[in-house]
Amino acid sequence: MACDREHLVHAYLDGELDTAAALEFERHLASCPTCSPLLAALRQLRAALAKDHFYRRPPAGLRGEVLRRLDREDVETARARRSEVGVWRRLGEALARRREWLAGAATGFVLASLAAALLFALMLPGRDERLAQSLIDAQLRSLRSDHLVDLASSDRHQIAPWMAAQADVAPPISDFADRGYALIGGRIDFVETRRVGVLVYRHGAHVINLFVWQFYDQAPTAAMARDGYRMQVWQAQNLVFCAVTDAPEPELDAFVSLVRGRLD
Amino acid sequence: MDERRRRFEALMLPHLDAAYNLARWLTRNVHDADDIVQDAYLRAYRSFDGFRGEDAKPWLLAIVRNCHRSARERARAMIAVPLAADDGTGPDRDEAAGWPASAVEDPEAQAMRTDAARALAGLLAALPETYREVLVLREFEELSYREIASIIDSPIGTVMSRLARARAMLREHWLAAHGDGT
Repeated sequence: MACDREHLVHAYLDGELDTAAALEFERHLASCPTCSPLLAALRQLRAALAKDHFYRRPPAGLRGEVLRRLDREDVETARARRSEVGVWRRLGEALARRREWLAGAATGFVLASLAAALLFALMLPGRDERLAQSLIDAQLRSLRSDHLVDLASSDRHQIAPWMAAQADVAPPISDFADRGYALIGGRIDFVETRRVGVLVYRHGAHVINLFVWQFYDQAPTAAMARDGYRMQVWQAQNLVFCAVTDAPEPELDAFVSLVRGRLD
Repeated sequence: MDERRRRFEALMLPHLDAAYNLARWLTRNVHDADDIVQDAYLRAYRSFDGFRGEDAKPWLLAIVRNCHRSARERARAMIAVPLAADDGTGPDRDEAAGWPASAVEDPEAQAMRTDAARALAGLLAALPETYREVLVLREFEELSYREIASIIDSPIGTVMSRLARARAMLREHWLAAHGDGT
């Protein structure tokens, strides 16, 4: 026999009912021919699922292995930070040298230098800025070395497994050659310290890099432009996508909506 | 060791057992579970700045689950090469396969004290993943519906209906195999 309060048996068993609701349900239980045997059966099931038989304990070495991974991560982060600090130290030294050259004109120039130093400090790159710079650097590296792709192919069934194995991402892949955005291949690149997958498209004389990585973080800003490059960032299906190109804005917009249209 | 690392370890390492237990029941495999847990801790550490002091355990377990899912996606992408039109939106493999004929072999199950417990572990391992995960989180981690909902990124109503369905399936298959046991 069915009972319309059957679903409450689980909530009651799991202690999810508040006191009033639990009391009321207990009154119902006393007389319901469906709920009360169900509760008994579920209690039996719970007893059979006793934790000591079913709980899987980690092997002895796992904790140490986790800590070693964190150590390696700390080392890499520290290295990345040192190279960043290095840039600012060199800038500071350059300013100091300038001060020496202009020693005669003293105070005015010293103040100017201090103002300049302050300005530089204010321009210290934020998180999104660093990410943007890192993406553009990756793009420039690939253009400069004439190494646009690691795997030249427009076949998504060839690119997908390769990218999954190399960069830990399995994005949906589409070729939009018929719309003027031809998939020419895939590349593995580094953005900050992350290994990312890049899908490379050609649009007329322009190259569009579509960077993809796993999302576990706060989202970067949606759109940025610098040094003649513009980018759009969005998230879908647990992945972060970032399209970077020197193509004009409407053409980037068109590309992004093609990709997103395929995703949604 | 800096403050951030100290804080991460203090908050997250106590949940290593829970992370591993979930990874084991999701992957049903010792080696994959190891990898998933290491991967999850690294990802958790990288995104620790996004941790806003909510409960650490569900936060970490959600990452474990995500790591498992993306590892499975990757494995599927490797397998799916020759197939046309696999855009990753197909049905869950476990669900598509329905109720597998036999549970995945689990070495620890050998150590089970009783045949009955071993058989039940087999049945649980064979449950479709969407049902298995809610049951594991509820029965072994004793998490609340709200916490489970945040881990599987679904409404509480979904947690409740999956839990009820999971228990019904487990009972049904248990009774089919062992009579009503009374």
